[in-house]
Parts: sequence; structure tokens; C-alpha cells
Amino acid sequence: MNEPTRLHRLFILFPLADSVKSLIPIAALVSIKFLNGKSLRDIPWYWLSAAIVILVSLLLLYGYLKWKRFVYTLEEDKILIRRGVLFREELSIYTGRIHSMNMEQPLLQRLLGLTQVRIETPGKKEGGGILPAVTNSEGERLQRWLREQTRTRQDDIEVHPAAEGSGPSGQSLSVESESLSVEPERPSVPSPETPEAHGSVHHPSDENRDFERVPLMDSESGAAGREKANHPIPAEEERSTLLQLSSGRLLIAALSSPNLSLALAFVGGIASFADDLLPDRIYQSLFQSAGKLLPGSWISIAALALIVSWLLSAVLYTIKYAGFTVERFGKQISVSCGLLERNRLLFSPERVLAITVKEGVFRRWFGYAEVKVHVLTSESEKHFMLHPLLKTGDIPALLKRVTPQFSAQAISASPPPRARWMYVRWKLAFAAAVSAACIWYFDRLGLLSLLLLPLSFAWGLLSHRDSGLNVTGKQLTIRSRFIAMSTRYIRRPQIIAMEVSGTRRQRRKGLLSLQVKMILSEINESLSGMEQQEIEAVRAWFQQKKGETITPAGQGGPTSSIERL
Amino acid sequence: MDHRLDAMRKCHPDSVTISRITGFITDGIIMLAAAAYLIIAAILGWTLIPGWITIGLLVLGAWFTWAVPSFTYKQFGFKISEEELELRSGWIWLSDTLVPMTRVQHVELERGPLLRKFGLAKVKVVTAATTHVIQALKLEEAEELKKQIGELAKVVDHDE
Repeated sequence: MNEPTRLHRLFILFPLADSVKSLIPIAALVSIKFLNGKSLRDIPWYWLSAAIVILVSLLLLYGYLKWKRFVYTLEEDKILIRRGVLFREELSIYTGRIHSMNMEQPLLQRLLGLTQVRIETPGKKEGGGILPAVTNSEGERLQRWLREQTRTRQDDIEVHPAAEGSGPSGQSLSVESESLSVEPERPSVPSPETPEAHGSVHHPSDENRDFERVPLMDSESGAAGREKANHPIPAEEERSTLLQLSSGRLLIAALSSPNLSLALAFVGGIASFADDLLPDRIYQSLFQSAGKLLPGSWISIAALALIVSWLLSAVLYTIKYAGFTVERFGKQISVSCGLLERNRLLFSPERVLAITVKEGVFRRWFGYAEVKVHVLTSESEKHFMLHPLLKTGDIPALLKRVTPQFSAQAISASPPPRARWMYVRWKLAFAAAVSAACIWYFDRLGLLSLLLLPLSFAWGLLSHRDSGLNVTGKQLTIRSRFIAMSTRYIRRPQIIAMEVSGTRRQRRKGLLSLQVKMILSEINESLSGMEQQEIEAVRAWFQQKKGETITPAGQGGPTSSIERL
Repeated sequence: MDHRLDAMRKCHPDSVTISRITGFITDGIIMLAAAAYLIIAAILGWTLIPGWITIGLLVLGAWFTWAVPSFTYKQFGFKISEEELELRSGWIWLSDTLVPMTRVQHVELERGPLLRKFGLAKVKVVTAATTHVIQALKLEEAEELKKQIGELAKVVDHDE
């Protein structure tokens, strides 16, 4: 197992393919200019082809050298990567530091039937542990290797039956044993036989870093993995498919989630593109014939554009979510989807920061919703789909299966009627400004825009009606409505800070607003115009845990906190 | 009037003066820029309107620059307990912030030239996602606060 391995031979093609990919837009521009009549005839064809041949062979040579130099070795406790043509690089990644090993299939790899392996470590080094081209079986071998590595180390640490018995019994304990496996290489970890030892793993300064820990491949060697150490089970059985999306479901999902802004941007882009590139004659004649149309046909054109952009957004949606699959790998959840670029995201359920259930206007009619999960990873995408289209009634079951610490609570408190104006005022002000501008600009016709006023009033009332919150156990549920209705489940351990605010007048009326700060600012939640007692109850809930658990903190934080276990 | 700030610690009163000075310095710089624009525009024959608008706004804004620091000073208070840091702040929107000690990542002291002159320091309490600022405290007090929060933040959170 320890001999150096090369990537797949097709890696030789990669530099060539990359440069072709980056040249495509330029090539498209050139060819359109060519069609327009501005030819490249001044350059003789043989020069052109010679240049291309030389360029291609140079890129192939470079690719060959790159492939030749790219060697990785699986060693006792680390993976060693050597690479670089001009600048040689040697990279050692210790298994104890590896958070996860992700299999990805960007477009090129997918076309060639290869896999890209990304080795995730803490910190955001660019292009750190990436093996750009390996076969699928090699990828699986690597994952198996990592699993074995972490498992053997797990055995070294946990040789005592005490923790074994308590491991799978409760959520809190299994979380704890996970944090053991997070940093198995920590030399000071004694056997967690005594509660003291358990606590000392939680090094004080580590606590905040805890937020940054990304999905852990290791973590599967927590409670579940430990049992396996005794009677090994083939790695394949750890995989189980939790859900898959049929193509019919996907189609409905795609059609019921009109991403109009995206589609309009696309249409706008095409229009300006046509302006730049279409031969002037054609463009002008198009423009003139459009000018002669009657208002009726303008409306039908607008409707057509709307339908086209709707279909377009559906197509984009389908490309993104085709083959949507959620699987369980040991203790981790994997979400993979994508037609052109197959993405796989791994996360451990314990690390989920929040869950959002979004019910679009259309979907709400039919009782469907989408479920999103927010996780802190080094990936750019931190919010990913757990289910694109689910019957609202099935949500509790889904959460129970995937992230059991969350539960789908209904809201129990809503803003009182006297808070209506808080929901309405800004929308009304905005509508008033828009219609004032319209009247100023379009004169008589602009009066039509006064219709915006009642519309925005109704919008405000709707969002007032649908807002609300609930506190159950350690979970805070906040429901709000912009256009779609979204319900967010947040757990107390993941809340960083809480802010309660209100103007003097609102305070006099007994109304307060709440803001919950999370580690990802995108999922900060806020709720305005709630009854004062409700907000104070939430505040007390946020404070309360200390009252329950913390004995006077004293000097030795860690030691004193252990008794509470 | 209201009892929001009872039993809360306050900033050093000099913070009002400091914010006013900072505010007026910023205003002055913008004013200079507007004046420069007016001169250049007059020479090159551009429109003078943006320059006059800026200066007009600044003259109106002088009142704000004067008054707002004392409002915010009066409405600001903080309290430290073993479990959390509590901040009250605001001017129109009065907000109460609650930061559990277990979420605090580090504490920073900051001393600009003005703060140094007054023997004060700004304390910043930083969590994984937010930064909470206590505008101005006496240096010794700030140092002590820093140490205190540092100690308290060591406690480990077990609310999993």
C-alpha cells in the first residue's frame, strides 16, 4: 500500500482541456465576428494550423510532465503528495488532521469518467489536498484507507468498556465521543474513563474553534464506528441511501421554483449580447418590426418572455439538482446532485447550524416545501438542499432521520395585531416612493402604479400574519415571510449572540424585536414586533442554560465544568 | 426616566468629547473636499450644485455630530456576569445584546491618538461572528475588563 501512486493517465489532457475551456468564450466571439464578414483571411491557414499544433503539443508535453511529477503515497499516518513541474512541492497531510475526503466530479472529470478527490483539512489553504484525477475505485480505496487509519487510532484511544456502553445511548454522549475523535492525535488525551478526562478534551480555547470544525470523515468512527472495530463489517455496508428524487418530482420542483431574477438577468444578458454581436442590419430590422407592433402583441411578447425565462430557470434548476441523492456514510450525511458537474457534500448531522424550510407561493398551495441545511464548511456553498420538494407533512420524519436534534415545531406565538403597522410601514413607504417616481416620470399612465399601495399593504399584512416563533427544548423556531414563507430551526448551542431592540415608542406599547446572530451572517434571524413577554421569554431561554448547569465557574474552567456531565 | 440602564456600567464621560472631535474631523475633511471641488468646478466651468449640496448637508449635520454622541453615551451601558456580557445601546432603536461568555473568542484593546490623549481605551469583544464595542474606558479599567472577560471566557460550553 505504501508505494507511490500516480494519477490516472488522462490527467495528461488536463492542461490542454483547461486552456481550451478558457478559450471558448474568445473562440465564440472570434467565430461570430468571422460570420459577420470580418474574416481572418489575412493570416495564411498553414501558419494558423502550425501554431495550433505547436500549442497543443506543448500543452500535452506540459500535461505529461505534470502527470509524471504528481505522485502520492499513502503512509503510516499521513498522505504524502509530491507535485510540480518547475516548482516542486511536497505536501504531507496527517490523517489526524483530515476532516473529510470528498469525491467530486467537475465537468471534465465527469466526461472522462474520473473523480477528483479533495482532502479537507482545517484552514483554507488553496488547492491543498486535491488529487484531480483518479479512478472511482482508487477513490474508494483512498476513503477506505482513511477510514482504517482513523479506526485504528480510535482503538488505541478507546480501549475501555465504560465509554463503549454509554456511547450509542444518548445524543449528547455521542456528540462528545465525536469530539474525541476530532483530534485523536492530541497527545494529552488520556483514556476517558473518568469524567475529568472527558472534559479535558474540551480544551477551553478549542471551544470556539468548535464552530469551525467542518464535516468530519473521522466522526463516523464515533459511536457507530467503535462497534465496528470489534467485528469488522465491509465498508460498503456503511452506505445507505436515505432519499432519492425521482425525475418526475424533480420536474415539478424545477417548474414550481421560478427563479425569475436569474432568468431575467439571463434574458437581459442575451439582449445585450445580441446588441453587440448580431449584424447591425438584422438587429435594426428586428427593432423596427418590433416598433410597429400593437400594444396587444407587446403584452403577448412580455408573456412569452416570462414563460421562456420560467422554462429557462426550470432547466437551470434541473441541471443543478439532477440525480439528487442523500446518503448516509457511517455517521455522515452526503448530498450529491448535478448533471454537468456532480457535487457531493458531506456533513455530520451534529454540525448542522440551522435548518430552513421554505414554502414558495406556488408550493404552499400544493402543500410542498424545500428543506435546506446550513453547515459551516470551507466550501463556498454553506447552504445546501436537503430536499428540494417535500410534502410539508413529511418534514418531521425527514428531520428525525437525518438530523435528530432538530424537530419540526410549529410556531406558538405570533406578533399581536397592534404590531401590524411595523410590518406594513416600510413596504408602504417603498411603494409610495415607487409610485411617486412613476407618476413623475409617466404622468397620467403613472397613476396606475398607485395600485402598488394596496398591494404592498396586503403584503405587509400577510407577512405579519405568517410571522412567529416557538421555543421548545433547546430549539428556537422562527417563521417569517418575505414572499416565500420560511421557517428556520436554530438550536441554542449555535447561537452566538442575541439582540433585543425596539424604539421608545415600541417599548411603551410593549413591542420588541428580536435578532439572533449566528456564525454565518446569512442565517441570522430576526423577528420584529413581538409581544414583550414572548421576547423576554426567549431571552431568558437563551440565558437559562447557565442557571441550570453552570456551577460557579471559578478559576479552573474545564475542571469545574466536568461535574456537570 | 426608564430603568434600562440601572446597575449597568457606563463608558467614560470623555467618550462624548472624543466622538464629537472625531465626528467634526470627518466633517471637516468632507468639507475640504467639497471646497476643493467647488474651486476646481469654478475653474473648469462644471456644475457647482453637488459641492453646495454637500456643504449644506454638512452644516445641517453639524447638529447631529454634536448631539448624537451624548444621546448614545446616555443610552449605553454594559454589564458583565460570569455567564454573559450584556450590552445596551442605541439612539432611536434601543437594543439589548446578550453574548454568552462561552462564545467570546478574544478581547481587544484599541487606543487611537485621541483615546491615548485622554488616557482611555476602546474595548472590543470579539465572537466567532460579531464584534461588540465598548467605546471608551479608563485604561486601567479596560485592562481589568479585558482580563476579567478573558478568564470568564475560558469556561466551556456543554449545551450540546
